[in-house]
Amino acid sequence: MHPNPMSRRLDHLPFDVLFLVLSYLNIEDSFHLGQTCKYLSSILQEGKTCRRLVETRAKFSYEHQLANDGQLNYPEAARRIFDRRRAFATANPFSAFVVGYGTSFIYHDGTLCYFDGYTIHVQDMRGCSKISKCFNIRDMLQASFHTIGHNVRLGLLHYNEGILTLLAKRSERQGDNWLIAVDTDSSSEDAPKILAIQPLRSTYKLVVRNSKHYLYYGTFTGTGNAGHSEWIFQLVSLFNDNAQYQPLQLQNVLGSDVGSTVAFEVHQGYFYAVSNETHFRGEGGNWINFYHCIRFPVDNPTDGALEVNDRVYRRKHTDGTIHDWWTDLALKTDEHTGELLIVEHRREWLIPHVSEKKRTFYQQRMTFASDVHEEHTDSGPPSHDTPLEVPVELSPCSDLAEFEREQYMNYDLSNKPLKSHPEYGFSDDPPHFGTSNKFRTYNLSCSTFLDIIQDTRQYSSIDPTGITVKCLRLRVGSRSRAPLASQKLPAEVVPSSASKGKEKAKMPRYMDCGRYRYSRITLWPP
Amino acid sequence: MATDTQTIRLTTSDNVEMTVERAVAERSILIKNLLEDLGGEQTESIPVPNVAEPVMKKVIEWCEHHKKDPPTTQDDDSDSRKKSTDIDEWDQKFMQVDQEMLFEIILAANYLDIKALLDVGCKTVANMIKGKSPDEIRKTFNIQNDFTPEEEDQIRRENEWAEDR
Repeated sequence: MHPNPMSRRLDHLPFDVLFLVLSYLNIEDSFHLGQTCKYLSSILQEGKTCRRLVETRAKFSYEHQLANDGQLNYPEAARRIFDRRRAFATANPFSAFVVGYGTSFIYHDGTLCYFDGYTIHVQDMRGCSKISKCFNIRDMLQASFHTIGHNVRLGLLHYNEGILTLLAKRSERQGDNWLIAVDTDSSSEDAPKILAIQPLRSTYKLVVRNSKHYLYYGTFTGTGNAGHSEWIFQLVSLFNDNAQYQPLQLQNVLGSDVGSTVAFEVHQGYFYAVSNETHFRGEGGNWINFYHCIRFPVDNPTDGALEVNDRVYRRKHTDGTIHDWWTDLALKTDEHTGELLIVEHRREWLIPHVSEKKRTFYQQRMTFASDVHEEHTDSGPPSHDTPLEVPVELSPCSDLAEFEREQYMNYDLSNKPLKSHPEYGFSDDPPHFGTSNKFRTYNLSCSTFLDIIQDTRQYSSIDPTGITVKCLRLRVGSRSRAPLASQKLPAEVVPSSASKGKEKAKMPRYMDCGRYRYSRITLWPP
Repeated sequence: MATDTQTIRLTTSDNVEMTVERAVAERSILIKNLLEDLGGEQTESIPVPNVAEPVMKKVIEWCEHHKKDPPTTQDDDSDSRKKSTDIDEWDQKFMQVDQEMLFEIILAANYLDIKALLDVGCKTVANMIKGKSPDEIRKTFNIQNDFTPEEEDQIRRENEWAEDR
């Protein structure tokens, strides 16, 4: 029951109407509405409302998965998504503690794996699952694979969907290296077990990506037609020991540094690769750089199944000089649409401000010919993006026609706020800490970048042994969509039958100008 | 092919009788079902006890403009990933009324079961909310903050955004 059905106000609207209003709002806007008064906050305690909110606005989030499995109710899931994003965007952690001590670790999608001697710990850090696995990998290897022997060095490679991959190295000699895949699924009580041991011919730039059933490992050891190196990927089936697959050499995926010039991901039944190093198109100062994107079905690594899009716009030479050392390239999933996006961080001397190096986080969609084209026209960040206004459907590797070149030359990503997030929203934000940057990432779900920096200014102290103690700090900047711009129309264009007699404030017209609100750059610990 | 347009009469909550083209009035599923149930020629005025004349006029204005629109299917918003708050030009102008009228129209559309009009109204409200802080939403809609100071304090700890760019 709403308080007064006769009163025509937002906070007196019946539940079913508010439910409909909420269906046009994202999670953040819905919670902001819920924080205005008690009546409106009660809609966010309602299962049906929250279920729709989570299912439509964060369908690909971990919290949705938990709610779907019955481990959380939907109001809790919605609240958690809101709190998690806010904590990240404001550098305001719920808690901070020492998880354990080890010599190396990897962290992926909320799971931490770390090495402590020969013991591997796999721990779900998102709090719902209390199970953490702990096992001695050397004992496991000796029990089943004597050939690998005792004096093997182990390193963590990758973790995804419960599968941990390791590199076992006896020496630098060929034939003395193995890839080991261990099922550590933390959702079951079963002891971890070794799923595959694969002898490696080379470990040069070794990279692993996997789903629950398929594992790919790649090395930069192929030779292309022009004599240059190329990536070669080998598929290993994790459920069928007898399956044999031919290796696949990825042509024209030129980047060799994973995370900087090339990125790989297994996502929704496909293997994806994107490279920001491509053949030049154009001469002199006229070249345009596109991402080279490929994908193939995860169970069919063949040239015939390969799809290519080499016309996803990246930048052009006339944008300014780029400081390559800072470039980070990743493929990230949008929690809202489930779409895999190219996310790139670059430091550039952008024209006309050539005296300043600017950091910018760019995002770009990849499309492939076989995609069913769907428009995501909603307005919240970051999934409500529109495809490039420039042609992307040209045949692979063809040269640009003159008119296309002109279109691209006039295209400026820095004018597309949806696609480019500059580091500084304010000119007086604390400056960047130069090369003390230890780690960088970008969180799409809350449009936030995070750096881990080594801060020597405030936290340096001299300990009794005379060593300067440096402090690692989080450095976070985020943004969110600004309210729609309102524009009052001249009176004559307003339909005439609107309230007559007494003068009342007419509603302005709301327009989406793609504006953002930027947070102050925040350091943690503060 | 000149046809005499069939009209019906509606009596609003403030006892005003309005003559409306039947095809226009039938944008309201409530009226459409009612007319079908009654069958034949409708001579008596249909009472609409929840909607006053000024609001009814606005609703009829909208129905007239949209009378040729294809009927909305029940489930066309099942995939709300595609849900957009884009509002067509005419509807945007139509919705430029004071807030009280906006909510009157929304409630009338809800009562009369005119889904497309209800959607436009709710989208308009959503557009007024998007991107705003709780305080800004309160200001926009003149909402009384009835949280206790403790509850309020917890909410205030939320990130404060400063400038738009």
